[in-house]
Amino acid sequence: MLNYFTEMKKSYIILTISFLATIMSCKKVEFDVTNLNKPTVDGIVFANQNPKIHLTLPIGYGDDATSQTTIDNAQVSMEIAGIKYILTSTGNGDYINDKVKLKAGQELNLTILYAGYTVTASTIVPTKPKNFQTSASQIQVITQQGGFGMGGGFNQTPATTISWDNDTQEYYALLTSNTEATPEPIAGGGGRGGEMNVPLAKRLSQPTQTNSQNLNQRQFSFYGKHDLILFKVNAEYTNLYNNRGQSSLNLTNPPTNITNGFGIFTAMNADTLKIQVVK
Amino acid sequence: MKKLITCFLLCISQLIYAQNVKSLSQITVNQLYTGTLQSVLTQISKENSLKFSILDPEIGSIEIIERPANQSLEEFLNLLAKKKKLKWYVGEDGILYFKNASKNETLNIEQSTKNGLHEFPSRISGIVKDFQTGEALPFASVSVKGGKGTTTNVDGYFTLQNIPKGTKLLLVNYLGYKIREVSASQISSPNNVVLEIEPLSKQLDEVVVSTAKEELMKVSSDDQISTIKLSPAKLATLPNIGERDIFRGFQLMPGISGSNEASSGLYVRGGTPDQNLVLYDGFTIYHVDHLYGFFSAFNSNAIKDVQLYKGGFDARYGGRLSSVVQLTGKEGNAKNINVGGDVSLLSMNVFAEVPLGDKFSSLIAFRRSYTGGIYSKIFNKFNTSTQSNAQNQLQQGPGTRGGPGPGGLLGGNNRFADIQTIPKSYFYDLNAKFTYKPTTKDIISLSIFNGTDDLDNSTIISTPAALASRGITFDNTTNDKTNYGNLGSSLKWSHRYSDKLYSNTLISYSQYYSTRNRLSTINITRNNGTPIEIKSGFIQDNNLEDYSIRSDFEYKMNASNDVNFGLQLTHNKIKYDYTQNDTVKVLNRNNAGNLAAFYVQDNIKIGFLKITPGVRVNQFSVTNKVYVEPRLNLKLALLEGFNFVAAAGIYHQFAQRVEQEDILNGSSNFWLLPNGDNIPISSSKHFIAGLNYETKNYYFSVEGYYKSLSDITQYSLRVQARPTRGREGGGPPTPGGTTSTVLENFFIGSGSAKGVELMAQKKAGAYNGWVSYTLAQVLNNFDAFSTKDFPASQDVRNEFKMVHTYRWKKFDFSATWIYATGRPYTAPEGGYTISLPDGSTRSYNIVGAKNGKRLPDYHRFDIAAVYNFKLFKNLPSTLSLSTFNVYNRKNVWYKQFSIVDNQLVEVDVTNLGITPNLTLSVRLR
Repeated sequence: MLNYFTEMKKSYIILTISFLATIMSCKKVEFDVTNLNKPTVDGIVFANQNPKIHLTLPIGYGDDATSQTTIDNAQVSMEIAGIKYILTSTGNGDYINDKVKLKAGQELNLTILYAGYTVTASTIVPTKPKNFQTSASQIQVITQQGGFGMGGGFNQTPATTISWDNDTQEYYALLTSNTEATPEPIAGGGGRGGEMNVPLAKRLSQPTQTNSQNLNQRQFSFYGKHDLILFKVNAEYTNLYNNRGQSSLNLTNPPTNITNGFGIFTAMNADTLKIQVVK
Repeated sequence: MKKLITCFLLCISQLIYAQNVKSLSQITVNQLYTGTLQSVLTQISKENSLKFSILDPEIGSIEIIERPANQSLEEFLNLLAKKKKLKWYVGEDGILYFKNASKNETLNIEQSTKNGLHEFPSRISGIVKDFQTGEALPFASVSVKGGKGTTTNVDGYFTLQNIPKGTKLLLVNYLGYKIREVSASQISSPNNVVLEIEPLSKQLDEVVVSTAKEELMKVSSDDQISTIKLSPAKLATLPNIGERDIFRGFQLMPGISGSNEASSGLYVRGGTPDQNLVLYDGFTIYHVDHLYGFFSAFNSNAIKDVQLYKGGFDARYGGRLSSVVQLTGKEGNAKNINVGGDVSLLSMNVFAEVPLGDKFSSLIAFRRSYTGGIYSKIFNKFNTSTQSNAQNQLQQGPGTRGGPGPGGLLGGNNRFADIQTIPKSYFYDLNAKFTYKPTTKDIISLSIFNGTDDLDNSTIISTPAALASRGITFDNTTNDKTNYGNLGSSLKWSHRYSDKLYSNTLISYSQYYSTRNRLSTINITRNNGTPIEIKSGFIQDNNLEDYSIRSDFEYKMNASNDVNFGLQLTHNKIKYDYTQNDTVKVLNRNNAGNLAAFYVQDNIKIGFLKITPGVRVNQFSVTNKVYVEPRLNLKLALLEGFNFVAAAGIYHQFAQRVEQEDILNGSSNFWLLPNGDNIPISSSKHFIAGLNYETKNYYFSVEGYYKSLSDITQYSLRVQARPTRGREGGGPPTPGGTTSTVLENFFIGSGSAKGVELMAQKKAGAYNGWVSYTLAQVLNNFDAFSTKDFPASQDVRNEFKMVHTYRWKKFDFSATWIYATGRPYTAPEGGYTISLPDGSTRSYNIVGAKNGKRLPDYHRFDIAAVYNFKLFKNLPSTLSLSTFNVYNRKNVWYKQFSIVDNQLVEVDVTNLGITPNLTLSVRLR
């Protein structure tokens, strides 16, 4: 009997040691690694234009490179409304097919073969904005002294309203673009941006689901003629534009509609109005 | 790694080197001894490397003139004792104790009487109490000397069965108290024994080299596997940041992460703090911290007993995946009024204990912080970090256009404005307990706890001179207010039906509330008198209510079977609102659910085997499902002092705290009820096995664990304000011109935690402490983040801890050192740009593997010195000087990133540097 218990105790010790050894013998766990060899697609295409995309490799932050490397040896094709077209390289990472123009409602399927990767993406060319109109053909600028840096926000002229049809709450983005050959800057004007806070001849709004927008002098940096270009954009563009998820504390990759790669492939359709900014 | 193992082995060998007390009969004394008893004993102790303690200070000055002639020391001490009316004995720890023989034996509650027993009967039952205060002591050990024992229940009651025939001595042992021997002759009524034990006194005579027992921490080998007990009273001897903190004390134990410096929460064996059930006098506490999580919400002056079950906990507990902390509040001094208080560089703390008659006792303790050096240091650390975080979104590359430029609302020109901050932050907690004992068989107690944090970092920007001169008034109030806390109460009735059946019935209410107000209001009055009010920002509001009723029964069926069974009903109501711009409720959750649980378990003792099978059955109304949780605990005595222990169990969690993405917003975590659909019921399985070896002065253990986690949830809430009118130039948006989009994601995944813990502890003596090492791995698997397993954020591979305390005269010295592998983090590894229709570009970062990098290793050395004295010659007092992070190690809390010239620049945000603290504590008794 005593031997039985001694053996039993031994077996418990062996059992424990085996359990501990199993736990400690951590098998090598394979974790994800980041692959910076997959192509980046810079592919915003427009209705009534040739399909054109730009291909690069992402830049690695540990590398010595100071800019992204362009890819000129990929095989790029685009299926447009069911017909396959080849986009040929024109150098500097650009690929184009100048024989075909995109039309509203077409479904586009992009395929890229590069370094063993098959990169794919799809989008649809949106319809042209409807009933795009403006309440006035010009905006008058009233300058003031000793501005507070609030963009002169307290003494504005009445807003000019632009509007369009949007019963289905699609996404739209407005581009204001000065078309003067030698534009005259507005002293203390708004519409600034970028790292250097410089006056901008072109300004693009963030996507919106509304059907109108007020314009006032603070959105312009220059006097003179401007194009108001209203883009109808797709959800993939809106998602990427609005991405603010990359805080320092919880990093997530930006949204993309590219399979096996990075970037974006999307289409836009636009309508244009003219407006004059006057003194 | 090799260095670590070498260091560990060295420390173990150092601990094994014990004081070797010679047999007193083998020591010969043969010289003239003159002077006071104190000086004579000092001389003898130096000559023979002995340790002694004078328990009654008045005998230290007794004059001695003796010249023993080749007597043994034992004979000489007996002679002295006879002549000077002394008593002496060798304590459990090998120390010689001297006391006044003419004094009554105060500890013998039942004096030797004519009716005293000759030997113990086969079963006795009764209660264990504190000799000074009369408080019942939970989970104290009562055992036959050198044999088997039992532990008291939460109300201090015990029944010891199967006492061997002829037993004349019992031992009573409780953490922080002197071991007490009870002889059968002191017992007259074996079914109603009252055993009083004496706390370790801090007011020691100067010649005292050691005291009877100095345990700060006890790894329970009597009752349950993976259990740690901490003495709240002894916490004062440890270094602290500003508060004697029970949870910080636990962080020094093996298996509990000690490197999460910014959180007093318990990361137990790879679990997260929300997977830890915290019970205070029977009710669940949902909010366990103060000041962004830096301090735990429990006032050590109000806590009598703390137990932490690190895993494999039995069927009495449920509703959490990882661990259980059970706190028992003090009932208050049942014999005398007592008051006291502490003041430190962080807070003031007062308490009062008032008995009324011999049946009623009460305790009220209140603690409140003030904006002193330590508070401000921590508050600013979080708020500076929060602000820099807000500004420190990953910067975009050259040519990128961000949001509104510096011409925006609070852009470059507000230097003309008058900015005021409103520092009005504090925390407080209140503990109250009222206990009424109408009969010797009934206890009724009401316990109340309220802990609240009010954190305010709001700013006001008033009209700049440039605008005021033009008749325009302007003010911008930016709120940054966080108010959170817990209010809880329980009313408990304990009844002892017989020495075999005991019950606790409890009704309780617990409320967790958290409001975070980041609302910004701009009021502009133009020179034409037209006022404009613009509001932006958000308010989060989370409110949880818990109504519970539970009954627990203990039935001592026979010598081999102790049965526990009970029933618990809980109704949870959880509300969570997210309000944008003071008007738009973008999230409005209202959940309610009922949880019914029943458990039964049997503590079976068969010879050298103790096995506790049990089952807990839960019914959750939201999913309308039954969750069965089998549990098993096992302890096998292999040799004298050598045990094999094992446990296994299944656990579910029915209320979940979800973490916001921003780790700095400790208060923005909130509780939700699972719905069984996109928020599933999480579950875990525990498997634990280990060996431990315990001697009178030492404890060694090795324990391994494996824990699988299923259906765990991570949460992401992103709210985007999307101005649609009037904002394009960076000016203020016009009222009503903003819409919000809520992107709420619940990511569901699984995980596992496994590890091995080694520990060596010196339990008693002037010097005591422990060294421990944990090798662990915690993995998560979330398809949303990675196709493969990735290290969880709390994954720490190696953790090594040393805790040393030493008593010298009236001083307690302590030193702790922690080393831990750096925690994992995610970093951007590359980037790309996209061209927009206006010709500008936007840059994006490619994020590296989830938690693919590691912060630098964490290590920290803390020291403390405590001086025990009597203020005004009568009031027991301590003055404690503590220094946190002595060598000012710049431990990294987290990383901030920026991209400069296509290179990643990482900025380390560090934890607290060297932080001294001074605490004065004064008691009436």
